[in-house]
Amino acid sequence: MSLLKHLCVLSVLVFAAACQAQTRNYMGCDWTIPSGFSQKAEHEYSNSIDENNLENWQPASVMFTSYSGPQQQYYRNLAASEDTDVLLLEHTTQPTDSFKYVSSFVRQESFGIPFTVAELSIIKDDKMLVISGLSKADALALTSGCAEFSQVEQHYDVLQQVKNGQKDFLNSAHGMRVLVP
Amino acid sequence: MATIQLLIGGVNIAPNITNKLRKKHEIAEASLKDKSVTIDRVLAARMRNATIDEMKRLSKMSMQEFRILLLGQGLSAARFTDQQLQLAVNIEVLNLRNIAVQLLQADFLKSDTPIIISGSPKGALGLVAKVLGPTAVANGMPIGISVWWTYDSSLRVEAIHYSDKNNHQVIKP
Repeated sequence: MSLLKHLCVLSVLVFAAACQAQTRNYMGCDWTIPSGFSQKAEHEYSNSIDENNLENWQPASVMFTSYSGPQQQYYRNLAASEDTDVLLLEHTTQPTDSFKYVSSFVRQESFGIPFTVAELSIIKDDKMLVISGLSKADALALTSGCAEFSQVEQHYDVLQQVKNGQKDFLNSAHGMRVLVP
Repeated sequence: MATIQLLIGGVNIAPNITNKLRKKHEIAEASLKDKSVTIDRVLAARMRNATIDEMKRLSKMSMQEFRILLLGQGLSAARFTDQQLQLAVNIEVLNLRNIAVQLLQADFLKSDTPIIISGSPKGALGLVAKVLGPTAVANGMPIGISVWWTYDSSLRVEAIHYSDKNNHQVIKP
């Protein structure tokens, strides 16, 4: 009886969690918006500032938008600032894959504190999902059932590698197409 | 300020220093030394609060609203995609975060950063700060913030102005 009671409670909790999770249908798939993100426009979501852990907090955004081709020139312009390093990568995909993947990493240092803004663009035809600043767990949950797990994971692997500079990554056998630099 | 000057002056012109006057002198000296540090910390705390408020505002701003903000500063964002604008906002919010962290550490006057300090706090702020502490004072005394954007090679913040009746501080990231 007790086990049955526990199962019922568990089922209610799972159902409640499923009801709370916000999904968005785009590019023929349901994407799960991470909890704690609020909608700021029809196609835009963002996280909230953690004032108690300001030093480690970073902005995170989810954007469903249109895709109008590669943006190398914009990233080259960003890299023109002497305090900015930019890496723009196209992931290797198979012809049968549903999406194309592009990662960008913008590294800056201000007031002696370095930071890296990482973006993952998931593209299908003229549409695109852009996620930036999400934790790996949130990104995997968001793209679960839609994007390739290995592609999302690769984005975070590269982020770890380039946090202290991109030289070692560029010299490694990464198997990705470097668009910038 | 006037109270402190009066206490110091009273000590200097008195030939016979009583214990009461000596005590006043000690308190005044301590207040003066403390005030030069405390006021800087209060200002830092007020600027930090304003910086965090601006971070919140930018984080919650849609790209359509951001385009209108830029237009208000004479910058057309028509050449940028929403993705590019969001990237610029995320980068600059992190720059603001770094400024807030610097201000939080209350050592920004000593740090080797391109911060231009001008103006000076007035009134009895030092005495109030001494009793309540910088953060408590800052919470009750917000300072205005204006962030100015520019476009050269990319879209970025050109200057952050903090101002009230008695102060005008400018930070150029």
